[in-house]
Amino acid sequence: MESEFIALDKAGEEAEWLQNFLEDIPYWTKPVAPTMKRDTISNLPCNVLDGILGCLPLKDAVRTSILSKDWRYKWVTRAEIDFSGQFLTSFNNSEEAKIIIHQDPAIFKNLISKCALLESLRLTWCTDFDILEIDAANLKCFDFLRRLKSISFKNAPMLRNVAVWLDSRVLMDPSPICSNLIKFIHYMPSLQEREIGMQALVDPLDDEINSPRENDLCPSSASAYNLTKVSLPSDESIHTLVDHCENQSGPTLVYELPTISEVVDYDQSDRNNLDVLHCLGNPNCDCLVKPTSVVGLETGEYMHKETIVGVHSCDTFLYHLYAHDIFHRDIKGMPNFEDNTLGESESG
Amino acid sequence: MVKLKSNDDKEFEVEEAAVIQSEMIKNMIEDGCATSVIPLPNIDSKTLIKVIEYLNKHINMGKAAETGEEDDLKEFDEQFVNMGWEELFDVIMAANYLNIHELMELCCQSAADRLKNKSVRAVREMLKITNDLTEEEEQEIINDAPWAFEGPEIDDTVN
Repeated sequence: MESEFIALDKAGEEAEWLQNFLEDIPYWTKPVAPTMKRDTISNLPCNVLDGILGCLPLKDAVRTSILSKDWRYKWVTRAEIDFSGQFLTSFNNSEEAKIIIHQDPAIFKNLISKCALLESLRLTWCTDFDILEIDAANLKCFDFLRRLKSISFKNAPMLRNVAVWLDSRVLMDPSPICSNLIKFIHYMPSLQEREIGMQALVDPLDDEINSPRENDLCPSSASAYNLTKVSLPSDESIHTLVDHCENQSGPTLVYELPTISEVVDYDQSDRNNLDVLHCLGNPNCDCLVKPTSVVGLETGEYMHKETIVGVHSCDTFLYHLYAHDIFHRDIKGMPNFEDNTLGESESG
Repeated sequence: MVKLKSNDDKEFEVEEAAVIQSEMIKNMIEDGCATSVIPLPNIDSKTLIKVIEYLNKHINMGKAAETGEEDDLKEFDEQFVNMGWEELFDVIMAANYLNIHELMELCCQSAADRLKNKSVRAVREMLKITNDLTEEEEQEIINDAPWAFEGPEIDDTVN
């Protein structure tokens, strides 16, 4: 009984102390409130901040890494890296931009390695690469326009849209590295759209930096096979166009031979999962269409084995986009793809 | 009509056609949860008024395209985002909460436009971010991507 009284007494003391304590609180300085007010943007939810940073041009987004410790890696959630018109226009001086992006391929590698959530990579006005390795697990879209010996996609299981346009000078360049028009043959099960184009392109950097050369390198309609009509630079009047084939069940390739103005509907519905597509638009050349199961394309007699880079294996999520120099033999002439090369080597 | 209640207990009536631009409220209406007042504990009345103004203006976006009112809408949007940072963030937070995609996009774009081409100092000042990096750390960040910090075109003004 006595102990209970003592306990009650103690409780009363505690209550009083607590009361006094609470009364004192308003007189304390508030360390929390000013912090909250100081920096509203850092308190925004991630998705909101990503939305804002995603709207920023690449250069500005990267620059936010120096704002404070918190901000160091905020921008890397970016889903898109676009080295194209917008990037260049963020520099007033085109010469400076040219130096930066033409002399330092490390920029791309550095950026790509940082952005784990990267979905779209556009290297349309960038430097020449000998080898570009891309390791971006979420990459869905890849555009390239320049000189390139080989690209390999390490770990790009989501990639479904590839557009590769090549500088016309690639054709003209006699040096061994760039001597040939590089062709990319895709062997990637996830790939839904591909586009390989070649046009008598002018180097955009040599032009007006703000030239509104909007290209359609990256059409967004999924499940379509795009066939790009490829023209030789000697035939400058020919435009490179893309046809969208909406036929979902059996992909239809609409293939226009520019110089003879003839449309050939190349229906491949009898082949399952048409997945490897390679097409050159020239009266002398033909469509090359291979079913998914083709493991290697080096068997074709038109290929030059030594130019095939790397190996692929879809089981290990290691995919390579092959660079083939189809035009190795003769710059003007195109290799004649014989009909019997179609659909052959259905191994795997 | 749908009734919305802000966190300071003010009620607002909004046409259903307008309010369903909010995915969140649209879902509530579809699920039959919007029969009485919808309380919005995260949004104050000042922000809610702004959001409702936007929703009312953007009713029937398709119709606007037909009748050639797109320019009008564009002008409205430009005027709409002409507000202070704090207010903009409030609207962004409300748009995020209510899940109004277009409003969110508009406000994020506006925020990005304000930050574009600004110097690091100007951005820090605008957003009231305190720099807690040492000089060495700053240098390290610059060395990592020097191209991002170069160029005379960077604007140092705060507005």
